[in-house]
Amino acid sequence: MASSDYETGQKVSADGRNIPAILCLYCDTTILNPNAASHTAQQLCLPTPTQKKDDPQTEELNDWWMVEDMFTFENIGFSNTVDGKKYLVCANCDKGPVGYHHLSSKQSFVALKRVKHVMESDH
Amino acid sequence: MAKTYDYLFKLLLIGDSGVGKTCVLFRFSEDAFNSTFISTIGIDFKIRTIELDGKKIKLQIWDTAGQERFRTITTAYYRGAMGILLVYDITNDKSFDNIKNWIRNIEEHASADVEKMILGNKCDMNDKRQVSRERGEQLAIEYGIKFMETSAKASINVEEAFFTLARDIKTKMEKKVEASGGGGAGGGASKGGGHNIKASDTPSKASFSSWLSKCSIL
Repeated sequence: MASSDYETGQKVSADGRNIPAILCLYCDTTILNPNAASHTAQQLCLPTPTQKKDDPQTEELNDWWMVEDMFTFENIGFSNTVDGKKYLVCANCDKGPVGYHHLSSKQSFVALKRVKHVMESDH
Repeated sequence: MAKTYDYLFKLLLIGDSGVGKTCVLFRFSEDAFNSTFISTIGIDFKIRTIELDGKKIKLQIWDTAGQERFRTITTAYYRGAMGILLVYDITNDKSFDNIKNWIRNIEEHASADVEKMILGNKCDMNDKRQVSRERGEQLAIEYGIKFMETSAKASINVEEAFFTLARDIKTKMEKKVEASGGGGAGGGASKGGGHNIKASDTPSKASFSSWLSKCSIL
């Protein structure tokens, strides 16, 4: 069932916005409210949450929520800067990275696969 | 897109190394499930959203990230700061004495009207206490600022401290706006237009406090 994690069918509105709220996979902290981000399909690499020493592992991910303004986030942590990027983590439990923030464009990208999607009606 | 919040406050945590600032804000957990990737890089700041009197407030919270060790906290770090939590450790006399130095540093480098608050952290460790509550209170009175004893570990008063500071900044800002005849908000505040999206899922008190409580003693 892992593939359903990033199926976008019911998550993206007609105008490309997120229909569900976006929560931390582990502690359910709200990361983004509904309609706060735009879906973009592109292949980008994101480091895996756990790493072997001196052997950086990344994962190729295809589906992202793009956030134009960092203050759109309800709750989020920003790592220190690495190569013009800041990695995004849950502000509550520090798990991640769930995505990254580009210093130059000021845009943030959250991987659909690294977060939980919860419809309003499920609450 | 219209702004979805009413205010944006930049807050700083200041104090000696080891007083538990990181603990108050950032959880550098030793728990096995924690991302080794992120703990290697370290966290720069966090954005948290709270609601006060029906207003949605974004807090951007920064830790000094060890810069205090080198006394290199300067104007750049303080720029735009609207609130500062001055933290000492009640089990460490020296960290308390240094609060005066930190206040001097703030007066030198930060905006004159920055809201301040003193926190005596680790109040769960009463058996090792070196600084009485009264001394903390007295110091705060001396500087005319608020005081609380907190325990990030036991989740005592930390959340209250953030809310109190945010409320004081908000009150000050609203007074300023009134004084200027209802003109633009001052101090870098971002005032949302009429398009406030009411948060249907604002972080509950519980989640805010669990975030603050998770900590290992530094």
